[in-house]
Amino acid sequence: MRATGSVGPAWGWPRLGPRARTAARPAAIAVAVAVAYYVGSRVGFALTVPLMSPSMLWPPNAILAATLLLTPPRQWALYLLAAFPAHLAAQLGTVWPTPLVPVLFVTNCSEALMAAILVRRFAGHGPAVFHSLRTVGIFIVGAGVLAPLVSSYVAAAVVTLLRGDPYWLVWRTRFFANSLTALTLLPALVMVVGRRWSWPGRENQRKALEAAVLWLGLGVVGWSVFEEPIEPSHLDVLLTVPLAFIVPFLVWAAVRLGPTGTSLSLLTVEVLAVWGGVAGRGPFAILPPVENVLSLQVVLIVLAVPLMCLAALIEERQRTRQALEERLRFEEVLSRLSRAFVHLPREDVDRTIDAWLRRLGEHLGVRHITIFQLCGAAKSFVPTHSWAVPPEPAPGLPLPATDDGGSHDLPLLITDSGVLSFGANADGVPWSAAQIAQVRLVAEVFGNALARKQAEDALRLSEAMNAAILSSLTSSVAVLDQRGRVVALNEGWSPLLAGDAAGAGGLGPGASCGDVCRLALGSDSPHVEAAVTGIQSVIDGIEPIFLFEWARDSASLERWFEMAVVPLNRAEGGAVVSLTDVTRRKQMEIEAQRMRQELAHFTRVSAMGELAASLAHELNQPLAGILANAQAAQRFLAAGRPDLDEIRAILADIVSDDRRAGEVIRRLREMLRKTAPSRVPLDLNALIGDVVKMLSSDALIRGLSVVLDFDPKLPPVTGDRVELQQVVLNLLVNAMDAMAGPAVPGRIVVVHTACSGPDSVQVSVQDAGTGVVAGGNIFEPFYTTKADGLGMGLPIARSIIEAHGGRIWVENNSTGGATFHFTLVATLPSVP
Amino acid sequence: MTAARLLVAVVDDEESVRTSLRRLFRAFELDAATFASGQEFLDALPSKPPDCLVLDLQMPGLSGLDVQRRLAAGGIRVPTIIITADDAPETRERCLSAGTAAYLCKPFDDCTLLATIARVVGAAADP
Repeated sequence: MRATGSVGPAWGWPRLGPRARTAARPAAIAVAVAVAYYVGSRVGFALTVPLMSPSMLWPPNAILAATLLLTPPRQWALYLLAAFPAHLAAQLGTVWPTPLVPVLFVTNCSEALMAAILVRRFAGHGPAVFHSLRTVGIFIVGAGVLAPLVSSYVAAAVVTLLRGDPYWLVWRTRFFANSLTALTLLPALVMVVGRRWSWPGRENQRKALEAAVLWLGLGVVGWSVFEEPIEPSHLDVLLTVPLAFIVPFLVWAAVRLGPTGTSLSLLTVEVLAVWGGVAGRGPFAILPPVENVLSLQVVLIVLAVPLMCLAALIEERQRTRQALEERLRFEEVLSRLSRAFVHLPREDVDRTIDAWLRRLGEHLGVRHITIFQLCGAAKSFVPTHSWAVPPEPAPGLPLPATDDGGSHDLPLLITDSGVLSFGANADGVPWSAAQIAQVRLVAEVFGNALARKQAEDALRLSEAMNAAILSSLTSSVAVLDQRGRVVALNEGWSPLLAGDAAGAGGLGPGASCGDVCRLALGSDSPHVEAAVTGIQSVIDGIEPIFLFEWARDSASLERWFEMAVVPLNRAEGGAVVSLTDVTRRKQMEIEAQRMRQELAHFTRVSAMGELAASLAHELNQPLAGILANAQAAQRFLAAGRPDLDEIRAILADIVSDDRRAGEVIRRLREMLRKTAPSRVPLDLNALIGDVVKMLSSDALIRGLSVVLDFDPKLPPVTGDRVELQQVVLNLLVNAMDAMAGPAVPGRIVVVHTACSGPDSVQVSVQDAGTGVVAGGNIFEPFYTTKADGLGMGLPIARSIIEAHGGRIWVENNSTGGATFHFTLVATLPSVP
Repeated sequence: MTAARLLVAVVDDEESVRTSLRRLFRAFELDAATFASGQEFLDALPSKPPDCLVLDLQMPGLSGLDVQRRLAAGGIRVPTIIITADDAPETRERCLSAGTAAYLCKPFDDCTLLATIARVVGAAADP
């Protein structure tokens, strides 16, 4: 196409083809048709035998038929109308009477139309008509025989009528002249004009050279056969014998140069033959001119038909072979393309795709190939890989037109989010179904490669994310497989590794969980065994979680660590061990506990202070008994006749009272003592009894009584004696305070103990006071309803119970007053 | 027969106190009747009114003051000594204003008790 201007037809016929789309193009074609028609008519008139009206070679009809075979039918009327003025210009004032001129135009047009319609209907249009034996056969019958035959009946009749020429002579001359031009000039026109010319490559240059040699030889032989004047002295053989020398050249053309070369060769021979024949030269020169030309025409027609068929057959074979080779080549390319992406490392995929886009582009002869990917953020397709024909600096030749670029682009979806788009091929023809099927296979290979790369990218991204999360954790984290071997660990272990005096030699993938524990706890720690067992129990699915806390002395201060082991959430199993420095939390816990104890002690002291009168009463009772007994004994002894039995009884009573006083002191000291909490088994009933005794004087002074309702089979609980006594004391004092008002009848506090479950005991302190106000949280510090209360009694009770793993709550009784309950964990007797 | 020995009644819920006081009164050569509660004492009263009453203040059931009020309500005048293990000034005031003859804090000396009994009985016999 690039070479349109330089290798076009000699008369400047504009190129016709699918690109003739603009409005200017049909107009240019119409003008060209008119000019060609006029020139063709003049040539036809020149090749006329004197005294014979029809021409011996009549190009205009072939020109019209070629136009109709190369253009869409909707434009035919335009071109036929354009030819009419040319027809008038060429024929008015010639041998033809004026009325005959338009009639002849009508017969010419009808012949061209008939030929075009028949060929188009049964054999297609354009140069492709001459590429197969079947369509060439149809062309020969339709355009070469039927159209001239039918139109010649009418034309001869009209000529005979208006000019008086002999009918059959006119018919014969016209039929053979038109048939011959239809068989030689028409195919040559269609193939030369309709062909997509390109600048000849190396192969085509050799073909062109061969064509030139052939044409030269044909010209020389044709000249000597058709144009040499007859010299009677040479009539030693028949004049027709040299005609045979034409045949090898025509067969050469048919075999080597295809339908186009054959048509042009035939046309050359025809022109030479007719020109010579009209002038009375040539192999049949001994005949009168009309018969001479007629004989030549018959010979040429007979030669043309098999030669055209032969050329079409060879062309057909060649095209089939070419298509097969093309396909084999493509399959070779496809298989190499597929192999190129097998086991290709991910990082090479992009480079390989680019390289193959280029090879494919060159192989397919397309202008560009681009792969677009849907960009998630922009919601649009962006090109990720592309190749395009590099622009060639070609001075003097127009670059490939780009105005229609994209009109034949072929986009194919290759992945969920990728599109492979082929540009128009170099010839600009639309993609055929076979080509689309081929490139679909190619696109599939690219799609698979890209999809695999995307999957690997996603995997890498996810692995990178996991590694980033792991390394961002402040704890030391190790991931173990189902055999307890380390598969991954983060940076958190570095300080431990650095401070590892034993020199464990580093902790890396493959280390055992024993290594992990030795590093975490210190290799001389007695707990390593227990930690390993704990980790193993999580890996084996026996325990859902393993938590372990320990203190580790460093040079400066005691540090606390916590090891948490949870199962690794994947099918193969395994576990995640995380090691956290919990020193800060532990210090806060210890501090909070210390504060709580301080507060508990303070409130105990203050409670004892409030109980001072009651305690004095409790002590004074035995002291009064002791003093009275002792003074009575003194008096009995002073009287001189002591009753020794009486003295013994007095002394026994004194001892008993003294013990009682000592017990009061002991209880008091116990409550005021400040010791670290301990955990020992306790009999709750006895413990509560002690507290009640301490408060008995208080109850007496207040004028109310405490009733005990104990479960004799109460299991022991584990706890701190003083703390639990404080809880009971606070609840009892609280109950007695609730009944301080004079209006409360039945001034009784009842203390129940009971088993509240298989492993818990419950203590309830029930008063008949005013009850608790709904909504207020009486267990919050400084919440008090009393004028002189600190508001710390119940919060302390709650913190102690919760530290013992129990629960404390209050509810109002239906009969008035409130009941405070608390539960504690029962200590089950250990199985010996 | 010599002059009749004085009868002292002791009301105290503490057995140790009752026993030791009974022994002390025997050493003083006084007759003593002991009662574990105010109600027990009031129930026994019509048959044998005592010359002096040693009455504990804090007792379950009727308190010492309750017993005193019952006696006053019944028009029975017995010189009463309140004994208490809880020495609070307001308690002393309350008892004395209720007509108590004397007020002793436990533990008390035997001479003090004897002198107090002699004083209150003498005061009662010599209006």
